[in-house]
Amino acid sequence: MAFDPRYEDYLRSGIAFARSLEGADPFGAARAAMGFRRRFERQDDDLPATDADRAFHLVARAAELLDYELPFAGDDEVARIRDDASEMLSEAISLDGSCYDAIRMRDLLRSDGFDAHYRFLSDGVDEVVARGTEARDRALAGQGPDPRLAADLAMRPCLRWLAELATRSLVCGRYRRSVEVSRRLLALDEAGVADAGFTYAFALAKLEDDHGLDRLAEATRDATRQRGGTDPWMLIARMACAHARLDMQEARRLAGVLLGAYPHAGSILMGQDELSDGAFARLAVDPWQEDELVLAVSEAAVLLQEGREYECRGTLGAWVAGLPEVERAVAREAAEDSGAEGGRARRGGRGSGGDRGSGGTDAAEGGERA
Amino acid sequence: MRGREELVLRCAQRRAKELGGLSKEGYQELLLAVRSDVDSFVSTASERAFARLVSALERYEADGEDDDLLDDDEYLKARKRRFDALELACKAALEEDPGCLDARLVRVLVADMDAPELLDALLKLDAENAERIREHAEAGRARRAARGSEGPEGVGVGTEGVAPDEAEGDAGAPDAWDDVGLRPALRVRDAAARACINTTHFRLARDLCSTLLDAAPSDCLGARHTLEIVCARLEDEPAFDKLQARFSHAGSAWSHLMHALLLYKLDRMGAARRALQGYSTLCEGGAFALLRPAFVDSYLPDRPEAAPNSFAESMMAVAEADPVIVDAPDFVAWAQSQPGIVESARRFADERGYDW
Repeated sequence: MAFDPRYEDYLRSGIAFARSLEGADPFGAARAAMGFRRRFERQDDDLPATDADRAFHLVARAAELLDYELPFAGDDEVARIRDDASEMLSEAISLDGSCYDAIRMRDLLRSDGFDAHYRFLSDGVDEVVARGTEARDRALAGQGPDPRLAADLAMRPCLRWLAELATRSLVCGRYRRSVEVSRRLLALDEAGVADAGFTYAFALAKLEDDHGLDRLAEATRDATRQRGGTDPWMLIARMACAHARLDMQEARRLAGVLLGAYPHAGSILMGQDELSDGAFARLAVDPWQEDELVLAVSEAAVLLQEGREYECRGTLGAWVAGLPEVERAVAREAAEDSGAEGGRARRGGRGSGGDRGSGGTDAAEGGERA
Repeated sequence: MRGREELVLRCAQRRAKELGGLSKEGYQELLLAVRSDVDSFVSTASERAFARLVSALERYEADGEDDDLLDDDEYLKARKRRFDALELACKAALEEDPGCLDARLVRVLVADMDAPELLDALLKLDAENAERIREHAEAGRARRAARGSEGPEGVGVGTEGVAPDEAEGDAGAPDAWDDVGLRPALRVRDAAARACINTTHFRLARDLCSTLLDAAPSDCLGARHTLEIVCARLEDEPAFDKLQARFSHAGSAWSHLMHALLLYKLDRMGAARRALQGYSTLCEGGAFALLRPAFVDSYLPDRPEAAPNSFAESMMAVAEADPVIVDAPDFVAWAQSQPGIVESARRFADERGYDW
C-alpha cells in the first residue's frame, strides 16, 4: 500500500472541493467535478482548501523534493533542495500548527545522529496519536461528502509518525520498543496502509523470535494474501532467524524462494544497497514487485550488517552474498539483461533497461563482478 | 587458564585412583607432593600432551609481555611468531595424545579463521562432549529445582582440590568443573558461546551459557559474562535480573556495562544513566575503556583471570561486547555526553599515562 504524497494531496483537495459543491445544483456540480482534476494538476490557487490542506500540499511538495529528487541530485544541488524543503515545511507548520507530517519531517532535516530524531518522535507520539484519533472520530461523525475517506486521511499523519518511530527504534537498536510501536500501529491502521508488519518482522528477527514471527504472519495473513505474490520482508526476517539458530538448510531454502520470486533477486541480494529512508514515508512502490525487494533489502541492513565484519559485510550479509546460488543468479541475470539489451538495440534501441528503478544499477554492478 | 595447577590436579587424581582408598587428608598430602614437583608425576600420554601445551601457553604469555611497546606492524609480526610457536606446540602435543582437547581448541583459536568459520570449528569440537555436559546440566538443574530457588549459587563452590571419589566424572558431581577431565570440554563450550556473539547467534549463545552454568555453577570460566552480553542484545531484562540474583549481584565490568546498554535499549534513560554512572564509578578505567576501545587478542584458550571491576575486566567487557555495542549505533555517543564520563576517562588516561 504505502503512502503516496501526491495522491494523498489530490484526495484531500478532492474532498475540500466536493464539500464546496454541496448544495449546488447537480448539473453544475457534475460539470465542476469534471474540471477538478485539470484544475488540481494546474495547481489552481482558486481551488477551495483549508489551511490544513494547504499545509499538506506543501508537505507533498517537500516530500517530492526530499524523497524523489534528492537521491538523484548532484552534490551542488543537495543543500538547495534541503533548504527549499525545509522552508516549505516551516511554512506548512505556520499554516497549520498541528501538521504532524511537516513537524516530523522538519525535525528529521534538523537532527543529527540516530537518537535525536528517535527521541523527538518518541516524546511526541502520544500527543500525535491522541490528536489523530480525535480528528478521525470527528471526521466519522461529520456530515462531509465521504466521512470514511476523510477519517482515513485524518489518521494518516499519525500512522506515518508511528511507522517512522518503529523504523527509527529498529535502527537505534531498540527492538522491543520497535515491536511495541509496530503493534500499536497495526492496531490503529485499520486499512493496512502503513505496512506496519515489515518493520515489525525485522524487529522480531533481531530478537530471534520465531514464535513472534508466526503470530505476526497469522495476524497479517489476510492482507498478505490479498496482495498476492511473495512477501520479501517476512522471507528475509525468517531467513535471518533460521540463520541465527544455525538452521542453514532452512535459511538457504528461504533465500531460494526470494531468488525464484524476483527476476533480479540475485543482484539485489549481492549488492545489498542501502537507500536513504523516505522523509515522508517508506517510498511508495508497486506491492510485491521487484522494487519492494530492493526496499526490503535496504531496510534489512540492520540484519545483514550485524556481527564482526568480514569480507566488508556483516555475518548474514556475507553469508547470503557467498551463497553459490546467489552468485549463479547474478551471472544469469547479467546474461539475460545483456541479451535483452541486445534485442532491444536490434529492434531500434527502444528503452534503456533502466525501467526497474534503483535495482537496475545493482544488476549492472553485480554482473561486472560475476 | 591455571594450566600448571590443572596439570597438578590431573596427576594427583590419577595417582590417587591408582593408590585407591585414599582419605581426604591423604589426598591433600598427595596434592602437596605433586605440586612441589609436578614433572616427576607426569606419566600418561594425555598428561604429557597437556604438560607440553601448558608450557607452550606459559611461553606465549611471557613472550607477549612487552608487546604494548611495539608499533602495529611489529606487533602483528610478533603475534604471528607467537601463534606459529603455539601451533607447533599443539601439533607436538597432539602427536603425544591425539585426544588432547585443549591442544585442539588452541589450534583452532590461533588459526586466524573468519568468525563464522571459527564458530563452526568450535561447535564441531563442542559436539564431541555435548552429551556429558548435558547430563551434568540436567543434574544441576534438578538440584536447583530441588533447592527451589532462583537465588544465589554460592560463588566459589568450584574447588581445586577435590578428591577423585568426590569428583568422579559423572553427572552426580555437584559441579562439572570439579571433574578436571571435563574442564577442556567446558572451555570449548565457553569459547563457542563467545564466538556466537561475533556471528549474531544470540539464542544459541544463551543456550550454551545456560548449560555451562547449570553444569558448572561455580562458573570459573565466566559464562555469566557472555550471557550478560546476550541478555542486553536480546533486551531480556528478566533473564538479566535472574542472572544477577543467581550470582548474588556480585558486579563485574560486564554486568555493569551491559546493564547500562540493556536499559538504554529499553529506552529507560534515567535508569540507563544511573547504570552507566555505576559502571564508570565502580569499574576501573571503565569510561576510558568504553570511549577508547582497545584491541584485545583472542583468549588462549579461555578468558584471562582479572580482579572484579578491574581495568583488565573493563577492556575485556568492551571488546567482547563490541558487536552488540555498535548494534545500538548511538550508545557510545550517548555515554560520552553524560556528565562526568569524559572527565573520568581523561583522568584515568592521565593517571596511567595513556593517550587521550
